Amino acid sequence: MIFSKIVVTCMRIGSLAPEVKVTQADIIYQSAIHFTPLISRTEIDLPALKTLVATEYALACFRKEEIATGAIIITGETARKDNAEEVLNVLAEFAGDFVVATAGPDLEGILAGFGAGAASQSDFCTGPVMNLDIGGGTTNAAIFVDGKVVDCFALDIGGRLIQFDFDSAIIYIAERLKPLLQALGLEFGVGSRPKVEELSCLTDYLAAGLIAVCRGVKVPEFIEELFIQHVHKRIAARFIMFSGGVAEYIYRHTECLTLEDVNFHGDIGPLLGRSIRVAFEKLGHQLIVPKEKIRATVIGTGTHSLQISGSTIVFDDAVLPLRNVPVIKINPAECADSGLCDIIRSKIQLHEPGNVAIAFAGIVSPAYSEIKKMAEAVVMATGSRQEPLVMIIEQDWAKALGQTIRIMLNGIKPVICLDRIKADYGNYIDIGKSIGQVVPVVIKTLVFKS
Amino acid sequence: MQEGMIRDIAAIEYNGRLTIDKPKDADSCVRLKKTTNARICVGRAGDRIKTETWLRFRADHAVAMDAVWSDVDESVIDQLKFYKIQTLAKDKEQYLTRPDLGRKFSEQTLGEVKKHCVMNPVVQILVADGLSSPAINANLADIYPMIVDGVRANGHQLGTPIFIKYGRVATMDQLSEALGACVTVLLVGERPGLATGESMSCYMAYESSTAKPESQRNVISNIHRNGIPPVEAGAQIVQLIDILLREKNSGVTLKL
Amino acid sequence: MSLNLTLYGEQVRGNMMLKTQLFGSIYRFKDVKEVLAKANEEKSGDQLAGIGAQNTAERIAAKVVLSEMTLEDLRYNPVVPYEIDEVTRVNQDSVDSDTFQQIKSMTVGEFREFILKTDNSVLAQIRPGLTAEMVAGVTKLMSNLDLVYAAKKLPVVAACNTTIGEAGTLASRLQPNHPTDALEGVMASVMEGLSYGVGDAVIGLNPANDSIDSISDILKAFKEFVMKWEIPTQNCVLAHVTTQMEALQKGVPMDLMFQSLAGSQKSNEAFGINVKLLDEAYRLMQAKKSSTGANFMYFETGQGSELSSEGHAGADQVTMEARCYGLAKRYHPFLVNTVVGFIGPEYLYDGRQMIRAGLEDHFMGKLTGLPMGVDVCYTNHMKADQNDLENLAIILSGGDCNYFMGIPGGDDVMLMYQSTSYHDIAALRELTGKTPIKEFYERMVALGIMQAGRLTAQAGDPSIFTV
Repeated sequence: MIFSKIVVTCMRIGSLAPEVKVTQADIIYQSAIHFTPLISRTEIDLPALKTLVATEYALACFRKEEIATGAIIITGETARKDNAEEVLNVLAEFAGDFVVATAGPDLEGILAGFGAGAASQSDFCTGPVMNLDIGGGTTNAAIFVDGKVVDCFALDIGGRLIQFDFDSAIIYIAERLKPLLQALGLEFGVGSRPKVEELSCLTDYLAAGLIAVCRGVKVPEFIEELFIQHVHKRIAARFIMFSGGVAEYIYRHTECLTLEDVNFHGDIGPLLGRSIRVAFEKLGHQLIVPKEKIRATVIGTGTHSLQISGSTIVFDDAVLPLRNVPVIKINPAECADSGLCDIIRSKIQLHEPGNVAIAFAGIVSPAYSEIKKMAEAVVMATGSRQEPLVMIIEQDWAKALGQTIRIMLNGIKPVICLDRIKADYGNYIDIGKSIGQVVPVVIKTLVFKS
Repeated sequence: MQEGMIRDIAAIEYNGRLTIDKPKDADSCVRLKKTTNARICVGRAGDRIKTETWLRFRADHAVAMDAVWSDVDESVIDQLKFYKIQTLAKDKEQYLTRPDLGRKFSEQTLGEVKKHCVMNPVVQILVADGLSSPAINANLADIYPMIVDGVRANGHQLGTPIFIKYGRVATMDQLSEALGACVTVLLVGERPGLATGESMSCYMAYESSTAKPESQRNVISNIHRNGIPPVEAGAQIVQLIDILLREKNSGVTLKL
Repeated sequence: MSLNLTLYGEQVRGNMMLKTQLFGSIYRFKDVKEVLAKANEEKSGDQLAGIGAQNTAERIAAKVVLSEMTLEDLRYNPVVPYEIDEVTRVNQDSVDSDTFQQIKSMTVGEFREFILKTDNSVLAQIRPGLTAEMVAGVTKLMSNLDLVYAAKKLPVVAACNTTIGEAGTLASRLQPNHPTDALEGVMASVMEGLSYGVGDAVIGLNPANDSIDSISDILKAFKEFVMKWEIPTQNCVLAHVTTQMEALQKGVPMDLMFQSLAGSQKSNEAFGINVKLLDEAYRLMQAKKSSTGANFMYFETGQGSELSSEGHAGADQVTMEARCYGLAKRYHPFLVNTVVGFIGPEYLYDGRQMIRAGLEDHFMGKLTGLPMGVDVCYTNHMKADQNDLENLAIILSGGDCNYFMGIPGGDDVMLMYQSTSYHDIAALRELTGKTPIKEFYERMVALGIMQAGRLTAQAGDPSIFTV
C-alpha cells in the first residue's frame, strides 16, 4: 500500500477558465510487501486482506476519512481468482470511496515502467527507453519516448514458471512452457531434480528471446508463442532496464552453481536473472538501473494509475463514484453521420443491461451546431434508460456538451460529462467523487475474468 | 508554367519539425523542439534564417497584422441580430492611437442605445472588435448561442445583444451603466500574436461601472479553436454568470 | 542636500526666454515642460497626452527655444516638482555640484556641440553634473546620426560575473521565454541560444508565472546548466522585485536582480515599487547574490509607460524615459535596456517612431552613464515589421549598443511580440566585427561554437548540449 500526497494546482490564476494539474506527487508512506492471502489456489482470503489493509492504515497513521481518493489495482495472477471482483469492491468501500481496477498485462507493464523510472528517464535521453518487469508469471514491458508510452506488451516469462519443493524437486511447470522444453530437448518433469545446466539451457533461451524483443528484431519461434494477447511493435530500445522480482538477480552478481543455489525462492527466478545479466554482458550492453525493482508496479500504480479530468466539466457527486463502466467510442466520422443516434444506440445495446460511458474522440473544437447534434443524439439514444448519462471527451469541450444535454433533459437524470480523458472501446472506467472542480478517473483495460 | 499549387507554408506542422542541416543528434533536436512552441531547431543560412523559416514568420505576422486592420464581417453580426454601435473613434487608425476614444460613446449613441435596447437586463451581452476582428468572425457563432441557451435555461432575462465597432474593454462599463445591467459580458478580439489572430477574450463584471477599478472584471482569455474551444468557453461563461448573480460581486474579490 | 527648487525655479524662469519667431510666426511656450514636449520628434504618445507640437514648424520653434536654454534652466525646472516626486529627488540629489558649476551656463545647443566634439574621456567626467532633463533636452536637438555618433563616444563598462561594454564586444541577453514556463521548454531555448553564441549578457526569463517556487526552479536550472557547461554569464528571472527578494531569502542562486522602472513616483507605484523598496532590494542582493562583480542590478524601461499609468505629469515620454535612467543610476546596474516597441501604437505608432525612440533611449542611457542595451522590438498592432526592427538593430550596433535580446526566431511566444533573434545577434556581430564578452567568447570557441570571431559550421545546433 502506498499513501501519496498529490498537489492539485489551479494554473492561470486570475483567469476564470482555470487549468487544474497535478503538480506534485510524493509518496509519504509505503507498506511492506505482503503476499496476497489465499484460502485456496482460486480464492482470495478477504477477511485476512481487510486486516492487512486496516493494519497498514494504522501504521501509516491515516484514517480513511482523511484520504481524498484512491485506487485499488489488482494485477497478475491475483486478478484471475474467482472472487477477485467481489474482493475488490468490498475492499474499495472498506478503504474509502476508492476506484478499483484490474490492470491487465499491458497496463501492468506501463505502471511498472512508471514505477521503475523508465518514463521519466525517457524525458532526459534520446531514443526509446524500455522497462521489462519480470515477476513470477509474466514479463510486462513498456517502451517510452519523451515520457510517453509507445508500446506495451507482455510475455509468459517469469521466475515461477518452474517451481521446486524444499528438496529442489520440481513441483510445477507452466503449461505454456512445455512446447519449448520439448523443442530444447529438455526432458525433466514434475518430481525430477534437473541439472543446473539443463535449467540454464531454458533460461539462456528465454534471455536470448528477451534480447531479441529489446532489439526489435524477429524473436525465436517459441518466444513468439509466449506473447500474451498480442505481439510487440518491434521497436528497438536504446536504453533498457529491468524491474520486478527477477530484476534483483539481474543487477546482483550471484552464483548459480548448484541446484540449491538456484532454489532460493522455490523457483528458477535467480537463474533467469543470471542468464539475462550474462546475455547483456556478452552483448556489451550496459543496462540502466531502475529506481524500483520488485516494487516498481506498485509504485507506478500509486503514482500513475489515477488521472484527473479537465476542469470545465459537468458532474453530479450524488451518483459518484461509478465503477467498471464499459466504454463505447464514437469517432469524428460517426459524429458527422446523420444516423448518429442509431449508431450510439446500437453500440449501447451491446452492453445491456448496465451503464455505458460514451467516449467522443478526435474533434478539437466542435461548432455549436455539432454540440447540439451530439447532445440530441445522446439524449434520444439513451431515452428510456434510467442510468446516469456518462460521456468522456478526449479534448476540452465536456462542459459545452454536458450543459446542453442537461438543458434538454431538464433534470430527468444525472449527467456526467468529463474531458481531457482518453478512453477506447473495450476500456472500462471508474470515476471517483470530485476533488474541487475535477474528478479522479481510472481507465482500465480489463475488468474480471468472466 | 506548371499547373498546380505551391504548398501552403502556413500549414506546415512545426511541432517537432527540424530544419537544421547536419544536427549532431537529430532525435535530441526533435525532442527539444516538442517541448516548446518557440522557433528553435530552425537551422541557418550563414548567420541568417532559412527561407522557409523567414517566409513562415512573415506569413504569421501577416495574419496578425491583418487581424488588427480588418473589420468584423457584418453578416455574422446581423445574423445573430446584434444592435450595432460605434465608439468615438472614427476609424481604425484613430482607434489604435487614441485608446481613450475607443472607450467612450457620444451622448447621442447612448441615447439611441437606451431607446432601442432592453433596459435593466439581468444579463447583457456585448461584443467588441478590440484588436482582432477575425476573433469575432471565427468564434461568435459558436460561443454566443451557447451562452444564450444556458442563460435562458437558468431563467435569467437577457438584454439586447450589442456589437461595438472600434471598442475597447472599458466600453462595458459605460453601456452597463446606461442600460442598468446586473451582469455584463463582453466578448472582445485579443491583441493578436504571431499566427494566432483569432483569439478572443471574455470580460465579465457585476454591475460594471466607470466608477469601479479594472479589478472589478473577471476574464477568460485564449478562446479560439486551438485554445479554449468557443463552445466550452460559452458553457463556462453560463456557470460564471450564475456565480456573479449569486454572489452579487465580480473581479478580484470574487470567491469561486 | 535640499534645494528650495520652486523658489529658485521661479527666479530662473524670469530670465529664460520662452518665445521665438520662425518664418515670421511667433511661437510662445508657457514653461520648460512645454518646450521639452514640443521639441520632441513626433510620437503618438505625446499626441495622445495632448502635449506634442501642433505642427512641424512649432516643433522646430520649440527646438530653437530649447537650444537657447541653459543646463541650469533645465536643472531647476524638473518636469515633476522635487517636493512631490522621489524620482526627481533622487535625480537632483545625486548631482555633483562642482561638475554642475562647470557646465551649468552652457546652452542646450552648445551642449550638443560639446558632446559631438569632445573626447570620450572628458565627456565621461561631466556625467555627475547632469540631470534627466538636461539629458532629455540635448537629445531633442540631435538627429538620428548624431545620437549614434554621440553614443559611440560614451562607452559604459560594468562588471558582474563577466564584464560588459568593453570595446569590440556586442553582448546579448538570451530570452528563452515559454508560454507556461515549462522547464524543459525553457531549457530547449537556452540550448538553442547558446549554440548561436547568445547569452553572454544574461540568461534571463520573463516568467509567465510569478510564483516563488516557479522562479526559484528556473534560476536553479539556469545556474546548474551554466555550471555544468562552464559558461561564464549571469542568471536572472524577470519577476517582480519582491518575488525575487523572497527567492533570494531562501538561498536561491541569483546573479542579477531585475525590475521594471518608470520615470515618476506615481508610475513606479503602479509597478508596485518605490525608492525605499529598491534600496532594500539592492542591499539584500549585495548580501546574498551569487555573482561576483560590483554591478548586479538589471532594469528595463520604455517610452510611454508613465502615460499608460497616468503618471507622466504632463511631461513628454522622452523626458520621462531619461528620468528612469536617473533613477537606475542610483543602483549601479549591470544591465539596463529600453523595451522600445513593446508598448503599442498609441505611444510609438510605427517603425519610424520606434527607430527614433530606440536611438534616443540608447544615447540617453549612455550619457547618463548606464551600460545600455536595447530590446529592439515591435508588437503586432504597430505599423512596423521585421525590416524596421533590423534597421534599428543595425544602426544601434554602429553606436556600440552594449547588448540586444536574443529570441528564438525573433518570436517571443510568451510576451507575444517580436524582438531580435539569435541569428540577428550573430549577423550583427559579424557585420560590426564584434565578439561576445571575452570569457564567454573563449568558452564558445572551446565548445566549437565560434572560431575567429564567427559561428562555426556546428553552431546553431542545440543538440550540442544534450548528452
